[in-house]
Amino acid sequence: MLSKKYLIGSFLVLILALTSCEKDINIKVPEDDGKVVVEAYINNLYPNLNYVLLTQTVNYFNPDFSLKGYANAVVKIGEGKINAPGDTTWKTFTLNPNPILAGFYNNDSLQGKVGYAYKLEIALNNQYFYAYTTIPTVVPIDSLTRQVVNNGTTPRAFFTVHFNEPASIGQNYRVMLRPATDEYFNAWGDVADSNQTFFNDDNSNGVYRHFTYARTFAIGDTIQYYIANMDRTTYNFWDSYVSARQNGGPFATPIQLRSNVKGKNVIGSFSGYAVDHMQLIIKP
Amino acid sequence: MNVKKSPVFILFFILLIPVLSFSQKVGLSGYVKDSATGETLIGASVVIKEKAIGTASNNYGYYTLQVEKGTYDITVSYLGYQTRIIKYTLQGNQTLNISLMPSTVESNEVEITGEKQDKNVTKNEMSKVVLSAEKVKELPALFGEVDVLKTITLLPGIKSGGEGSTGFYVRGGGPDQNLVLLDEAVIYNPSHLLGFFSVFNADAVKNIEVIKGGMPAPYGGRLSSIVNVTMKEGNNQKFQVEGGIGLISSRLMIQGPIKKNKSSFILTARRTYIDVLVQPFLKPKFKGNRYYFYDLNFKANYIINNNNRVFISSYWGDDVFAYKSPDVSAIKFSTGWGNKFVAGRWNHVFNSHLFLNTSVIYNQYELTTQAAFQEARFELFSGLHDWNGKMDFNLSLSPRHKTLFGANYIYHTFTPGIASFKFNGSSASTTATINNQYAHEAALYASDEWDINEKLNVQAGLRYAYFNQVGPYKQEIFNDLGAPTGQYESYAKNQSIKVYQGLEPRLNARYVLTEKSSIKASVNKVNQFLHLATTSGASLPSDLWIPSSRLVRPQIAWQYAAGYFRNFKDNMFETSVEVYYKDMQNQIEFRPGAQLFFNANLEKEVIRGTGKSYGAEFFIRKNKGKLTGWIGYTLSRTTRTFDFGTGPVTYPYRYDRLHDASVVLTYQISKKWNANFVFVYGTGNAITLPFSGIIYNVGVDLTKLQPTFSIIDNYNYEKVNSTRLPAYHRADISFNYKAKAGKNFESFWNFSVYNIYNRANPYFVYAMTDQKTNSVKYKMVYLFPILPSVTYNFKF
Repeated sequence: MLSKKYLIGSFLVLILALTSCEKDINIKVPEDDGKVVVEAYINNLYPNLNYVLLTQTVNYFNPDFSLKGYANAVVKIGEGKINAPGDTTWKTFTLNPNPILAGFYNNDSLQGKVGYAYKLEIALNNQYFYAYTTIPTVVPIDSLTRQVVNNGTTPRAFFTVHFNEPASIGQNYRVMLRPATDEYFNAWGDVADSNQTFFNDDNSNGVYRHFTYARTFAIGDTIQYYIANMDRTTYNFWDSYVSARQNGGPFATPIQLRSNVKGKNVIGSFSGYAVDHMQLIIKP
Repeated sequence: MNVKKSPVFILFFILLIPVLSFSQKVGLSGYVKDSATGETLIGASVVIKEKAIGTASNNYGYYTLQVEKGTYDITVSYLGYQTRIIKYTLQGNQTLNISLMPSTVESNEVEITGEKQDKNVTKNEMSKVVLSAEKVKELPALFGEVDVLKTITLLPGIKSGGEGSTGFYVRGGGPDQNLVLLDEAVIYNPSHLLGFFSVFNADAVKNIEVIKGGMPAPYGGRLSSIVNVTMKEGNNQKFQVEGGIGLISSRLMIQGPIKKNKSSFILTARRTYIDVLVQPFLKPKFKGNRYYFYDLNFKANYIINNNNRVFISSYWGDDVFAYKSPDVSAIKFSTGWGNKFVAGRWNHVFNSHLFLNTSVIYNQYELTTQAAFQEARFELFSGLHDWNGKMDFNLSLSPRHKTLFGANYIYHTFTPGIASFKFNGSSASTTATINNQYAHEAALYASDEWDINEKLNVQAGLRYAYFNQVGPYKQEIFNDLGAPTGQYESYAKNQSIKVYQGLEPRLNARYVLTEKSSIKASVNKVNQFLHLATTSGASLPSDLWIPSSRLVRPQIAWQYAAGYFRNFKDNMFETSVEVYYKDMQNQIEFRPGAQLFFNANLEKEVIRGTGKSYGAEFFIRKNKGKLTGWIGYTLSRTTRTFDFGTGPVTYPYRYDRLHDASVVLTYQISKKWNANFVFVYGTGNAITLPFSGIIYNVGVDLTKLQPTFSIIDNYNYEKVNSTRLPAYHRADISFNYKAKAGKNFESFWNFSVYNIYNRANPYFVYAMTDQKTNSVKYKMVYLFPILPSVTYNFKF
């Protein structure tokens, strides 16, 4: 993954820097089908990050190119205690629309629990959408370390996370790094795309993992680090999201998001995260 | 087993046809060679006019004729050489090796191919073109880099992938459906620098044969075309050094006798130095980048006696890309990929009726990557290795029959990926491996070309193709969501996992209408057992070849073609019209966004569909005079039908081109100067563009108090490839100046101008969102504006 992206990216930079030019062109594209976009989360650690955002796809060629939220939906999340396979007890929470941010729904009493199943239900303009997710087991961060390098006059440091990948198969990860002094953040999207990585244990299960970032940090920086474990359906959505986000250039292919939200003319995901957090202050 | 229906029985029956027609004739056979270098000549014409019989030398320069005893005038000709007429008395089976003198350009006229000029009318084969490397060298080229693969896209029915691509598309087929051979070794990735240049160094190349339809029985394994590049053997008369100094690369060739008339060698090398030249001009942030590629070709041969000759040939080429951070020396990255092969070959003449070529080839394609971030080390490897053995017999028992039969066996080893990670603080490295896959691929074939009468010639052939994916293999079982279940299916070494086999009929027919015109038709079936795992239109080094397996079925194509061929003015002008229809089954695509590299569950990413292509190709070529060249035009349609989850959709193939035209002209200005002109035009590629955006991963940047989000393109799979890029067209010119030759020194300059009218041809298109003005614009990136270049070539 890393090598291919790096290889292609580096080549393109080199080739395009040397020879290429660009110009505007007019191309006729198909009409927008106006899909409903669902961005919904449930996690075990941060109740403020359990929310649902309902928006509409944006027409590239509409002069009013802005985020349109649906404020008129009825949104519910069911919390399912799994007693036995096929035997789940459900408790339903109704989410409240945010009066300022149209399309944003939450409920402060909704606290995600490890090992529970969750069902999202949305009623919007005579349409019905639903999705299932789970909060699997937490994979704890073992330690965060730094390795200082002296290049020139200013020392900087590489950063490595260490964790023990469980022996059982089926872990799927979203790891996030925030250069911030405090743990609190507003939304999962606060983490820049360049600071998050998605991977799974398909090819390296049950080993002690070291994950070194290919960039350096200043001495004194504070790093907030999160590992979120998720189920495969959720992972498949985010894996397609990463592919789609990085799509572009001559090697682009039309990538479709692997939505886990069911219904007609809807796309998006309901993501259940089992989160662990650790902080590191980079010392000399 | 029903013996009468078995493939071996049918092949044996084909072989019986010439035996049954065997008559009391004697055989005349031998090699046709260049008198100056001793190089054998492929496709030289050997004719006995009194008997109205003739033949052409095969890929090894060997010919054989069957005729009654007597004295004959034997006419031997090859374009670019002086025709010889030899009076010869045949009293029994006899060997006659014939040397031809190269002709000079005293008449200021050039001839553009190595073929006899009425071959296009008289020969059975259709949809086939032969190019000489010398011609390719004269044409204008990007940065002056002579490119065999780019040149063949100037022929009708063969389309270029566009700017910056050596990928080519033959009669609606994909780039993985072309069998690219260098001295019979398969070249799995025939390009350098993501497809900008091909791996063939023209100095090492003797002959380029392109077959785009009517595929002869000796060939198989790819649906659309064969590009058969033959390396020179080396001058067995005297030592020679040749070279060229270009803008981005230089090349050197040394050839000469090891033992005069008996043995010779050739060694060629090419390396780019753009990495060195551009360093002073790079911005600081790009300074750590370094890229180059190189090619090495080697070939040697030894004539043991008149009946035995052995060859060894090899190619070794790599692309190397390295990065070292200019800011932090601990960040390093390097990757390299390339093809390599070694081939041994033995030509054996049993007698004047039977010729055998036996080849044993080892070839590989490998990609290795290394990255280091201070204490962390990462290494990744993938590759494909083949052991390939083949025997090709040429049997000639009657003047009316030319029979070919043989066998081919390949043992494939696929290494999809081995990744290792080492952290200095840990005691051991972590290794992740996608299991190797192994397969046997084999074929038996026989074909007979039969002159039924003076007008009708039929070449009927049959190829039996066999493929067996075998163990050792440990197949991980995945659930419907693509997650591993922890269960495995294991296969022991050589245990069969899945067998595919089939008969491939090949039939070509020619009917001569007049001395200068004929009609031809062909029908053939081909199976393809290997597939290229790629989701992009470009040629990436990380693209993997994967075998047919339980889930991935072999691709199958039936192609039907018919053509009218007519020459004018004593063969000065060749013209032809060919129509074709190609039906392709089990075409594969990979799910959009599929992770192709390092994916143990790659088979589940495959979507199966069908393809169709039909069209008409018009070709006119002028062979003689000061002005030579050709004009080709193709009118065609190509579609694919796939189900991307919303039901089957038929859509235009990315490289569907309603119109595709090329003009290639050479004008011999004087003995020293010639001028070349190339013009190409093609309907724009069909692409899929998003019709709206999905705003996702919404957050807040508290430092700037601004919302953060990503915009993901939203596609409609019922409208795949519904948008057309602007048409591709370009004109190039080149001038070649042959400097005054010394006693032992020759040189010529090639001055090229690529894209003389500075056309902006699309490389790719992307959407640019401007959140300040709430608008989106499409931007087209184009690569090469007008680009002059100069190359100096020398020989001594």
